[in-house]
Amino acid sequence: MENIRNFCIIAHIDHGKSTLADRLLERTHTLSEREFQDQVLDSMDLEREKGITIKSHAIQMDYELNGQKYTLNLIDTPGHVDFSYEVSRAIASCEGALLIVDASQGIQAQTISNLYLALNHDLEIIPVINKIDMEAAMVEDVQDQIIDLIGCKKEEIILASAKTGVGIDEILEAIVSRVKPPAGDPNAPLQALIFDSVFNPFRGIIAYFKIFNGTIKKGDKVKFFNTGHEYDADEVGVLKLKMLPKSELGAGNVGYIISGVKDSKEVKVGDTVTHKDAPCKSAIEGFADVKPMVFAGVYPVEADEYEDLRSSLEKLQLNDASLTFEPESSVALGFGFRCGFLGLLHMEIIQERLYREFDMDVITTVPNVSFKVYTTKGDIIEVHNPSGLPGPTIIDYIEEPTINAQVITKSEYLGSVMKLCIDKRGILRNQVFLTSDRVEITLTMPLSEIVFDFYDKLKSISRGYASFDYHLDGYQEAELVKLDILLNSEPVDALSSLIHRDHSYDFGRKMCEKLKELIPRQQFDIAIQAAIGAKIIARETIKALRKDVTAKCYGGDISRKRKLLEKQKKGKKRMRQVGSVEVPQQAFLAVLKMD
Amino acid sequence: MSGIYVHIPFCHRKCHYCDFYSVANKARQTNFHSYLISEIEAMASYLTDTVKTVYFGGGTPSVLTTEQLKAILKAIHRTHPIANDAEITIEVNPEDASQEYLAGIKGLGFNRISIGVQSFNNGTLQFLGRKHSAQDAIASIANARGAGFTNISVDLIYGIPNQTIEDWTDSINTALSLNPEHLSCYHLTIEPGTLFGLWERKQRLKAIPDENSQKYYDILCHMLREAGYNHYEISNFAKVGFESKHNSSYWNNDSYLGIGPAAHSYNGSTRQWNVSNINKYISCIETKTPPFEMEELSEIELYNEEVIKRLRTSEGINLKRLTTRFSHKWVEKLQRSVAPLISLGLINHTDNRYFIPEDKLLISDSIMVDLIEND
Repeated sequence: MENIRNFCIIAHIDHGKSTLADRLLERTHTLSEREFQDQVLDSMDLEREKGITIKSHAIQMDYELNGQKYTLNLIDTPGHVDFSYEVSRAIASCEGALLIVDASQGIQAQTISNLYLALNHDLEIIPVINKIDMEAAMVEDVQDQIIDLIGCKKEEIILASAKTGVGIDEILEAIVSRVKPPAGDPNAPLQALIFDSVFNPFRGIIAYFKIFNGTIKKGDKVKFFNTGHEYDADEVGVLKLKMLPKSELGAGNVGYIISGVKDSKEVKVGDTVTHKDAPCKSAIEGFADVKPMVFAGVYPVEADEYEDLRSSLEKLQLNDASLTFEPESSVALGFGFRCGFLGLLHMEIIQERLYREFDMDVITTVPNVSFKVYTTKGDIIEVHNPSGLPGPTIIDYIEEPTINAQVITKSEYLGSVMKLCIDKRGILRNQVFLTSDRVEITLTMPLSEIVFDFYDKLKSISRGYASFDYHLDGYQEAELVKLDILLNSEPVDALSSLIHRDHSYDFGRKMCEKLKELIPRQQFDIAIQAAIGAKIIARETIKALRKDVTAKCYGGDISRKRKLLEKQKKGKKRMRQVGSVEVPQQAFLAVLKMD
Repeated sequence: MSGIYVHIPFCHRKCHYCDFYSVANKARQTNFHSYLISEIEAMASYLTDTVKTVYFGGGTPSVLTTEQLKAILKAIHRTHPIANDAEITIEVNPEDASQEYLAGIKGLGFNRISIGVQSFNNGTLQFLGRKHSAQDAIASIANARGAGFTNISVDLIYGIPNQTIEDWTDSINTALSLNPEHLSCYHLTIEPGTLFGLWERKQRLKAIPDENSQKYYDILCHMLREAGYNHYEISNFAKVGFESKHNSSYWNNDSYLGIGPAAHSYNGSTRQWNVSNINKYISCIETKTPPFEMEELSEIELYNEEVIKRLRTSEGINLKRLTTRFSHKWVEKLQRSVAPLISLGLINHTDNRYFIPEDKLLISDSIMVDLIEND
């Protein structure tokens, strides 16, 4: 145990985490040149392409320093706010963390919030400034930022370039010399923290864990503490580039367990693995049952692909238990699913994976957060869909989820960032100058306010400089109304939204304007109305088409015209029919693109 | 009943809006008619019944000499039975329309002349890249009368950027004062691959708003109706009995043979179109290889074409005719899809006919899209 080091990497997207991880694997000969593929840790194509890590993984390296052999376990962390819980479990499994900061960009909000998490878990922080070879590198400024933030000495900061290989040896030496070996008693009752799981089509669910106490052997009868499920440890082992089975693993180690679990929902990140017969007294702290907070309808573009969509979602769920879905139907869109996501990026990722891995083209409706409706009878109903809102007479009050948000910005943009947050019903909790020109503000905000267009706006008003992170932070009472959109007096269920009363007029007006842009002229006038109950609060009209005659049929060339019209007909088939109005698919996402 | 179309792919110069196949190449012109004649001979058995219409279009057929035209017509007569009362049309540009030339072609047997006037406004003509003036256009019509033509058609274009309502009504009035038997009036379409298309891409030119298109169209329909013309097809107006027989044959599902580069032929079940390139065309003819590509029309395509063709006409789709060519299934499909359009006033329904009312012809594309079928 003395020679084990467990560490993770804290970094903002694009600050070079994956490339740095690749260098560490290369330097420790964990993989041969032949096996080497840039950014090995990001195994999904999508991750490699987006340059971000979606799901965390772990890998073990052998390293020799001064004649001593060490085992280094790198636990990779997902790089986005939607997955902050998974990050927290990965951090809880480590004793040290590399804090990677891009030399040209400095510290970002997400880095800070993960850094706080690491400090809370008493991790040894090894600061690394990456990309020092870049022309725009401001090494000294970033050194000052790091010193201000964690109070380290300048000499403790390692200067590196994952691209050129500079500083890699220093990092490996620092991991051995600065990070504490894991604590824990190999003879105590088993306590192993599950920090991640993946689905393997042949082996079922593979759970990754770190052993806090005790020893796990192949064939043990184990129990998952929080879910109460019991299994046989069919196989345990360590994670090299491939899984390497072992007969036993003791405290301090990081490894995997295969126990024939087929349903990803049974293995919950944060759960504690213990022995059935000699269980630990308590679970490892910090377990939470992560629930999706953002919901949207997902419908197949081709109506007859409903069953294909179901099977695709089922397959995705196998290695992404945070995705939920249940059947729903819409007058405008037909049959589909109400899907629950951790956040907006998660939603985008699922949509993208459906397209790439399953060739499924989907229409996604206006997303909304999960609301709690307290009825006059004293019941609590969770509402995931505007149409699920009970009648006004039985609603006592409604609560919406809130978040604790951190924004870090250059101080020159502070005013506009604060205005944006306050417009989004944020309440300022704290404001700290990290350096003379970088300020961190902490706010409480309703989650629903960041679901639409918060990120894009934040980026645009701060010229891309502001960064943002959030954690869920309870519920608050909210005055919500259901806003309906009507096309020629027909309500379009897929365009309904639940929105704060104060924003409803503005929102309704913008929605009508946007739809006017997106719905093509048709053979008759189209009235677009926004309504709360029976009250119309905004209206736009799309005037009827006046001219569409195009290609002539000169010299008897009928084919050209026929082919043109047949193509138009195919295009129209992809539109959705609301009463007599044809609505293009992108209109259903209109709200996401409003100014 | 069948027709022959001869495409003369030459122009003095290319107009700014035109995307028909033509080149401004004098060198190729000299001997070109001999290739057309070879093709006419090679295709002698394509049509199976008497030819009722012959149409020389382009390009600009009037760039050919009367001798060249005579040779082509002779070849047609030699290889095809031509009805005594056949309609034989030639398109002529005003700049070519001297009385002498027109008298010459009248003598060859052309009995209908279609004059590419486009506008009687000099500013508009210049903008369109036409070679002639309004005065040339007026003179050409007078010359055609002088040469003995009793069936004259005039082409006009509207919906041109910068064209005012006055310009348009003036052009119509001037045309009416010359009393042509037939008028073809096209809304300008800015096509890619034309100078206008390039200007549009570079944002130097912008199509006029739909609302204005409709205004110009309404003026046109109103003025020609008042003057006693029958609006028998989207873009065509005629005095009674002077509807173009050749163009009507396209909408009536008649067979036709197209001769020359880019010309189309149809025999009731297949369509074929000649290569749109003079050099390739010539080399095909020289090597006796077919210059055309061909497609066999499926039942659904035949049906779609019937819908598209018939709805261009004021007569519309005749259900009785439809049942002679298509099974009852298609008639039922049509009756189902036509119902919502009838209720929107986009299709009128009388004595077994479905047709687009005159004031909706400008949105006929979307109506046709609603009525055609996909595989």
